[in-house]
Amino acid sequence: MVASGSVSVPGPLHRRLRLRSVILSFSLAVVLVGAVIASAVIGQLAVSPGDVIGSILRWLGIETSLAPEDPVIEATLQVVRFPRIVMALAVGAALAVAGALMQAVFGNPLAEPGVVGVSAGAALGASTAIVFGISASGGGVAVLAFLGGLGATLLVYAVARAGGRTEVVTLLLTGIAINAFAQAGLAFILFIADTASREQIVFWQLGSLAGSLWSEVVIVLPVLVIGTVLAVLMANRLDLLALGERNARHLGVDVEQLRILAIILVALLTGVAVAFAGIIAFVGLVVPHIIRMALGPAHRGLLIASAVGGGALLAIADLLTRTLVPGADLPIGMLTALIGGPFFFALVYQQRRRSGGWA
Amino acid sequence: MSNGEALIDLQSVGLVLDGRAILKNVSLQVFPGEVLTLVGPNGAGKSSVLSVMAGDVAATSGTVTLQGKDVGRYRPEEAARLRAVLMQSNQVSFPFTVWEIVEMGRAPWGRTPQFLEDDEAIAQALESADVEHLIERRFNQLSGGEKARVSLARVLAQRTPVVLLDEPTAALDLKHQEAVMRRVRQLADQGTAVVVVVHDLSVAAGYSDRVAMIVGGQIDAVGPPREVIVADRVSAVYGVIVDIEQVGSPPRPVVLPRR
Repeated sequence: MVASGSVSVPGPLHRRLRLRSVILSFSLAVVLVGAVIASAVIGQLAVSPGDVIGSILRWLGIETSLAPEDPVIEATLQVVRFPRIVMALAVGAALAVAGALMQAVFGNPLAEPGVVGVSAGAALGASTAIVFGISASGGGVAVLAFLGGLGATLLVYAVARAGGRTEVVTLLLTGIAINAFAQAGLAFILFIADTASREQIVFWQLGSLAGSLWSEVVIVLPVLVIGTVLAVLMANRLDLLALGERNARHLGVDVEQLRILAIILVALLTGVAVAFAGIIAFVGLVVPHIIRMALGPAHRGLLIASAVGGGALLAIADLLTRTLVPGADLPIGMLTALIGGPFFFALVYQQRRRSGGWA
Repeated sequence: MSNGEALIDLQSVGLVLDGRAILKNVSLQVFPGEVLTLVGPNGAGKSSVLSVMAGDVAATSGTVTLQGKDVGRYRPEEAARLRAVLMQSNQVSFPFTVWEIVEMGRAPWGRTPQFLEDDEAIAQALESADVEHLIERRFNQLSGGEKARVSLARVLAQRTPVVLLDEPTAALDLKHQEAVMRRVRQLADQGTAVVVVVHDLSVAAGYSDRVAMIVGGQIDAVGPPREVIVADRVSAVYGVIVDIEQVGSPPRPVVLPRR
């Protein structure tokens, strides 16, 4: 099969790519671990790296002399910082995998849950749940966020695709329409909401990982793991989809089934991320794009590396949001949009130059 | 040429798309070991015949069987082990390398013993299409003719008993056109059933066992090149006065428009 290890891959380029993937995996792992440790150490309450390691070991049931003596430090790590870090990793990974999947289905590197309105759809679902108090524990918010995201994905899919491809302009215009519609819904929800839920929705929309709880992490994590594993299992077929849907079918892919499955995964991953972290745009755009430049477009490596890279990126971004301005917790959605906006612009510009127009 | 059962059997096939009759009462069989070329004016329905054979489009009326079974009843994976298809235009969404593209032709054999042939099939396909020197290049950066040859290599790597080619020579120079048609001939000589859409009538006549002339969604004539490619028919169908000479041994018709 595609990229199977048994086929001898020839040529210096392919050897270089293989070497690059080893280097990339290694660097991503280093960045990830570094971001996790830095996030645990840095904050309003300074904690030593030894305390962090000791606390992790204690959590794993191993008592060491490193374990923090001070119950405040212990509580800060276990109750505040660790769940937040794990949440950042999970949400970042979910968004990056969702982005890569969406790009594969649409055959377009500009497809991204935030850009085409899937995140907004999920946000509409989630805020509906908040206002109508459908569930305080988070489960209801996640379910409605998933449904909202699914609805938006199906809509984009139905409107924007032609012959297995989506042209840039059609995709972006569809995104504008869906974002506008979702914003209208959100405005209405805000209008009928009481002051408390209104405030909750506004801040949640900006995107934030503050106040992440273990009870939320245990919902996000299984969805992420199952979603990523399923996505990786689809990797070979997603590669074939790059040839166009008819060619993919000629090569034995059940295209309809593959696309529906991929779209449900996109909605699940985006929905669960949005439900607990708000709208964090551009992660799904930036991360797969960089990975593709380094590794090439084959989806198996792309999906795995995107998950790791997305987690690392969001862990770093989250660390920045709570340390850039002392004493303040900036909205993380603001930060990713600040980086992602210009990046997106550059990408559009590059694609326009290459294809010579707005095809 | 009918050595054995027909691999593809179209019986009274009609195809209506958006209320327009694209194909009318098309009956055509393709046997193992033969090259069948489809010729005819632009928009006559040649590609539609190929789509119906491939199972891309379901016939509105009539029956289409592939190796004795209704083509619509195959699972995509099964069908992919029986027939390979080269489409007219080939684009790739992401910057895959030529090697990766040709390797995709082996996807249908992933969980079968034939996957052991992967290396050999890919190497042979690369050589046949003369694209060995391109394996490191990104598909998107190739010229039109190179893209066509790489896509052909992908189809050849699939190694199926039926091969359907829609204008494999359209973007090619003379050397590659002849090389591709020789390879097509060779495939058939090894037992493959090959259906090729070709515009150049002399190319069709030079390499095929049978030629089907398709006009207005119907089969105008089907048979050996010498019987189908005759001056009166060609002149009537294309509206161009032509002379036809028999060249080579065995003699094959060559079409010369009067200028």
